[in-house]
Amino acid sequence: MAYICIRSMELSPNELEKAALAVLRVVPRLAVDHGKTQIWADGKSLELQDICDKITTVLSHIRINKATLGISAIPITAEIAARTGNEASPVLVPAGGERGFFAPLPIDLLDPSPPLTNLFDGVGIETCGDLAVLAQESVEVRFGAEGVHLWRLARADDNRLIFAAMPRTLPQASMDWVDYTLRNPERLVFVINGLVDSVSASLESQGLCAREMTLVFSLANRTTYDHRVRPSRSTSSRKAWMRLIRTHLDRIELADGVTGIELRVEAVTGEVERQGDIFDRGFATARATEETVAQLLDDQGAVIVVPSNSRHPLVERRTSWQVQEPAHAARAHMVRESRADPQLTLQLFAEPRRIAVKTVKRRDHHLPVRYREGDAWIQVEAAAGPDRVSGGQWEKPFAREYFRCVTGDGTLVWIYREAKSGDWFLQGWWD
Amino acid sequence: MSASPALPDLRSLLEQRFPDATPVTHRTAEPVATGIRELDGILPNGGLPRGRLSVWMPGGGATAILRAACHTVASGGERAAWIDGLGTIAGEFWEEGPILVRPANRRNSLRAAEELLRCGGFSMIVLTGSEPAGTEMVRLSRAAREGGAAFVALTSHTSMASVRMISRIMPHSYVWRRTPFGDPAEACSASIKVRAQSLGWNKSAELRVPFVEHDVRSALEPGLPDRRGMKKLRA
Repeated sequence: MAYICIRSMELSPNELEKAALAVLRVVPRLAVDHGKTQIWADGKSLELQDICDKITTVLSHIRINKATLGISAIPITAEIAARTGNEASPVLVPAGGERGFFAPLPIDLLDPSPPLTNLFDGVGIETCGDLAVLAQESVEVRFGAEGVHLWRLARADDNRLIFAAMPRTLPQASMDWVDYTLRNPERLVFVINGLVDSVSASLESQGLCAREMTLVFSLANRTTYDHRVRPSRSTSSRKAWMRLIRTHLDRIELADGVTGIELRVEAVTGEVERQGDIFDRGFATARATEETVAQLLDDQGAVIVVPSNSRHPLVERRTSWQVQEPAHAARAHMVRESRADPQLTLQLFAEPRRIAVKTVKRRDHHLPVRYREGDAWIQVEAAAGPDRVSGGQWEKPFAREYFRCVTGDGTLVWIYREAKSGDWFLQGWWD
Repeated sequence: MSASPALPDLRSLLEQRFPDATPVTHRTAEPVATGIRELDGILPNGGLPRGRLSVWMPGGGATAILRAACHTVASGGERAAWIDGLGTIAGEFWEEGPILVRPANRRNSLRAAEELLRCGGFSMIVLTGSEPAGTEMVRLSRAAREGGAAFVALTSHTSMASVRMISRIMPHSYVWRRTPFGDPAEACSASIKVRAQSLGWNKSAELRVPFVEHDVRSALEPGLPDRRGMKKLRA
């Protein structure tokens, strides 16, 4: 990085703008500092002497002849060089020589505030070199924050961001047509297929994976319709993107015929390859599994899940299902301990099924002896319960009596009586 | 009367040309051990056949046994998947190991099964709650052969199946913890009778399986601790 500072005290704001436009013809980017009446030009990767000659020439064309140029890898050095230089030739401060350049210059060039100037006078600091040789702690104690700032500048330590970071150009492709409008989805898919092909090739050549893309439809009514597409994991695969876009196209309704389509990548990630594990027997197929899982998530939504359980009294409200990332799902097989012994666990119906129940009285409760699900009466061989659960006073009150009943075919079912209504429900079974 | 010498040659030729037509009892498919000694003992070759379709009649402890088998596969460093077609798995009793797929409907369940089977990354895939039939069975068994996974479908349709399994919980084998009145309070365990059938194969075994009790809570609100049964602190 080389900063070129172009300075002229005689320029009005309009002339400064004019000068900036002229300089922009010969440098890739610049920044205008109206306060100090100076222009910053980016001399990165350019032949500096040549570019300085060109700047002087273009400025002379617009009759600006009294500009001074300072060139350095550090902004403050370039700025001071421009201030101390003359119109005859630009001042180039070589890399590594910035502190030496500063040392003999008067401290006033760093524009200290009047109180600080007095303090500097009091301790005999006259040049930048006098300040630069001091220790930071001493400067901080005696001259405060401003003193430390000037001390840094005097040591040619300037971390100002003169030019904003260059935005990265992400792949994009577009196609327009003017003689006709497209309304047929299959034709649109044909066009999009070509665009995706181009974008995917561009991504692959850069070693990138797209995280998000936007489809922009230009419509015949002179409006545009933007639609964002985001897969479950970043990929550069043309096949994966086309499948996802096809799914999205099914849901899009456009107000008019299409006269152009643009596909642009909005966010990218690097292509990450998982490191191998010699104990992972499934490593060879990890990528294929991850792709399949991602495809499933793209096609069907959040279907690969893990439970997140609370301690709610009602079992149907205890679990919320969290979607698993494809990479995690492909790794999820690595469990430390095996539970090879089978255990009969509770299975739940999506919704409790209403049933008719015959009961007999046993002490303070009624015990189910048979129940009817559909057309058939099912005999209860043994029953345990009731387990009484109640709560929800501040939301939706509930009070239930649960029974575990063994049916004639040996299944242990879980039924309950809603105390409020007296209705019976079959909620699940052990399997 | 001795068999013709051409018969073994014919048999090997058939095994080469039509591997799916060969019974699993001829050791044409690698087994996936379930880790349950009694079950592996009755399965042809000591496990569920890879690349083949096995069907298990729903209920009768099938879920418990197959989940244990999935955990065995996962603990061996391979992948297993459980496709819960009806969403009957209670989250409280699900343990890390196999990946759990909960599709929205039957069609999606079958699609998920086919995609996972084809990808070749899974050693065992269990499909529950969505009973495939007819051509669906054909497609799924082909996908299983391509991916090499041991595919178990909980269904009553047995066509295309290499191994047919039936299990039943014996109603009178329940062991109960009793109340002070002698009534059943909590089911502790029960016996499951499992039968494995294949071409020229019919074996059964009985295994004792414990119940995992559901934690019934009576706290008024979910955030409050349930202190039933705790000893009172004395001042």
